[in-house]
Amino acid sequence: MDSFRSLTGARPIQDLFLPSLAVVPLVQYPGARAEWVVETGQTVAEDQILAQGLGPGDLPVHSPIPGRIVEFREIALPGGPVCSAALVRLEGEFRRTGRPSFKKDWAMAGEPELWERIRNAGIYLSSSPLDPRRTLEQLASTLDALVINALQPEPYLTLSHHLQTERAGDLAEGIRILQKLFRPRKTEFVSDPEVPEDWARTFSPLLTGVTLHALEFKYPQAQEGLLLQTIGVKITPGMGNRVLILDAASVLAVRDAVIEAKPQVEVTVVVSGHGVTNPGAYRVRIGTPLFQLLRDAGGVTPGDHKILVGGPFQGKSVDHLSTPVLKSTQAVLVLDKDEVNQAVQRPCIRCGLCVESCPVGLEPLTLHKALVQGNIGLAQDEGLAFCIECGICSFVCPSRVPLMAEFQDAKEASRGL
Amino acid sequence: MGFRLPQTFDRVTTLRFHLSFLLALSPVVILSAVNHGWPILVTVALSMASAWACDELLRRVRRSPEAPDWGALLWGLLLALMLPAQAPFYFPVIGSAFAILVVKGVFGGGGTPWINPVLAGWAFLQAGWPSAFPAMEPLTGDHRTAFDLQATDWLNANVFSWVSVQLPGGYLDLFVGLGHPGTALIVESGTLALLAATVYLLAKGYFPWEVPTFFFLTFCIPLVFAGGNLLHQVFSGALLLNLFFLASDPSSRPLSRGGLILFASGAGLFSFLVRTWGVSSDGVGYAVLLMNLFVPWIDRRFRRKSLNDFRLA
Repeated sequence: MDSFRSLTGARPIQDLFLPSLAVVPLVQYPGARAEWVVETGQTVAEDQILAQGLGPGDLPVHSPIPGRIVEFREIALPGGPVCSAALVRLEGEFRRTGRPSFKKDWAMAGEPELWERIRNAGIYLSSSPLDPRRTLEQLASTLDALVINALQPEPYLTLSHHLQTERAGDLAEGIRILQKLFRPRKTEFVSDPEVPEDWARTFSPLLTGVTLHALEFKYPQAQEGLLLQTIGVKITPGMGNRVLILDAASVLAVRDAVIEAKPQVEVTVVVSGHGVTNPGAYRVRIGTPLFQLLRDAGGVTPGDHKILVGGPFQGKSVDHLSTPVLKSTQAVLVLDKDEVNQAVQRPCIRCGLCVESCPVGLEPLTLHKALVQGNIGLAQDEGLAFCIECGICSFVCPSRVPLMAEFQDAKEASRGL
Repeated sequence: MGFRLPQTFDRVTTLRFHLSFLLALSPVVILSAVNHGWPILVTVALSMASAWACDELLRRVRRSPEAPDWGALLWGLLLALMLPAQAPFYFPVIGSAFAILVVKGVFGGGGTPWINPVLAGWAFLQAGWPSAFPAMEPLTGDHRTAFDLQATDWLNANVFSWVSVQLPGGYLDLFVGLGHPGTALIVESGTLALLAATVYLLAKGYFPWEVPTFFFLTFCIPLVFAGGNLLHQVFSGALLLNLFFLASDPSSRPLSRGGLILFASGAGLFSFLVRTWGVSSDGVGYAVLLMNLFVPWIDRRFRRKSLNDFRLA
């Protein structure tokens, strides 16, 4: 598997222009509920709250730019879901951008105040699946292990690499804040394997009680269960209350919210693939439409491309380029034909590549055969329920059998029984 | 549904896999035709055409939703290579039809057959017309070509003399496919090209190294102890073709590494037995076919005992 990390990994993060028209969706991650608190025609300041979360864990949405609300419109998010979005036209003055920021103290501040700052900032945390009945704050008393994961084994994805090398000090500060908030029994840091050799020597002294792990880039190494087992955290039922996995971007978002009182209005996005002229990591405002992001990043090469938000395994395709950058956006990939390697489905030749690559130890081809014959019972005996839906079997299959998709469908069907 | 994950795929496709095999094996046919005449080209073409037509028929009857993968062409070619150079025109046609329609169609059950269809088609012909297949003759050195005479002398004078070894006559003929002047299998007449093909395909990682390695070892070690003529045995008949291609055919080999090793070792040992005490013509194919029968059992025996449970719920 080509990693394509060299396309972007060596270039430092760059700032891009502000969008002249920001498209700010109401809901930026699955499951959220929120409502608008502004109206069409209203003038909004930078960082002003546009929407409030309805549930206890739902996030507020801030205006990424100062401007005027032009209209509300239904837009399609990556992967298909439709949601309401506010179109904000850039005008007026900047309250924060370009002005000196002053740092807030956090070591002396009480935990309720720190939580307040985090809540107000509306930061999206890319975390391991949590118990849906509990908020992040309620985890604080029960956490056994806090795992910071800076390993992104999917090809192209170098965001954690950039953040870990370029913002090491901030990252350490974020981890210290999280340790104060959650009081975990242990903290584990899974490092990007391609950081410079002396990186750990400068990073470790900034932290106490953190174990560093260096794992390989081997998809799906960062899948929660696999990651925990590899670094020696035992998997037990009810895990969602005792282990929290956060990625590097989330840790930095917490740090920025607590120390700089900065709401999450910008993200760093890796723009990569052989379809872009200048692949790299770019800091952009939330709501920047992809066409502007790609144009400002140097443009797209001529030809047919597949455009994805996210990595090549778990990413979602977009159907048009007015789709905005979201709080959860980490990568935009513009892939040419030779990177996608699409082909029509052909019969299984029993080559065994899927068996070789399955991290769980399943025999995807045996499952496939059972499912084609309509025998879900046999598939379950073969361990269908153990499938973690990483997609590596579909990726390696030379006959392009949609193995993972078949397994997802079958799991859904057997849940319905 | 909208979209399906993952969004990208590995480079290798089944089509490319089969094309690489066809491409790699085509010099074998050419070399064989140079050694034994153009009728070989007709045999190969008939075999491939018959296999393709039968596969297409099977696909139509079954209304298969999947695109064809050219695997039948490869099977047709492999079958032709197992045939005698003087095979009548109906041999490849009947053999391929049996391989595809009966073995793939009946035993395959919609998926892949677990008996190698090529070997089954070959065994069918062997059983029906045993006298048409050339007997394994001992190496006499009676029919050495001018090439063998000169090259062996040169090598003995300039290379082997350094290590005080003498190469007897006749082996270089075997190596380049000239060792069987009378009746020969098509593949026997293209040995040199066959070896080149295996180097190319092994380098591409298109078949597991375990199969040829263990097949070779379990064939050669008992043979040496039994006092057999190693070089002659290796370069005669369809041993190399079975070892590299038919035993490694993905449709009928075990899935796990342990299974592959057991399978290949069994095939090697049975090849030794059948060559030493078996039928007069080359019976290596029977050894592989026999091990094919054990593949479902081997796969069950060697599968991972427990699955990794990475589920958090």
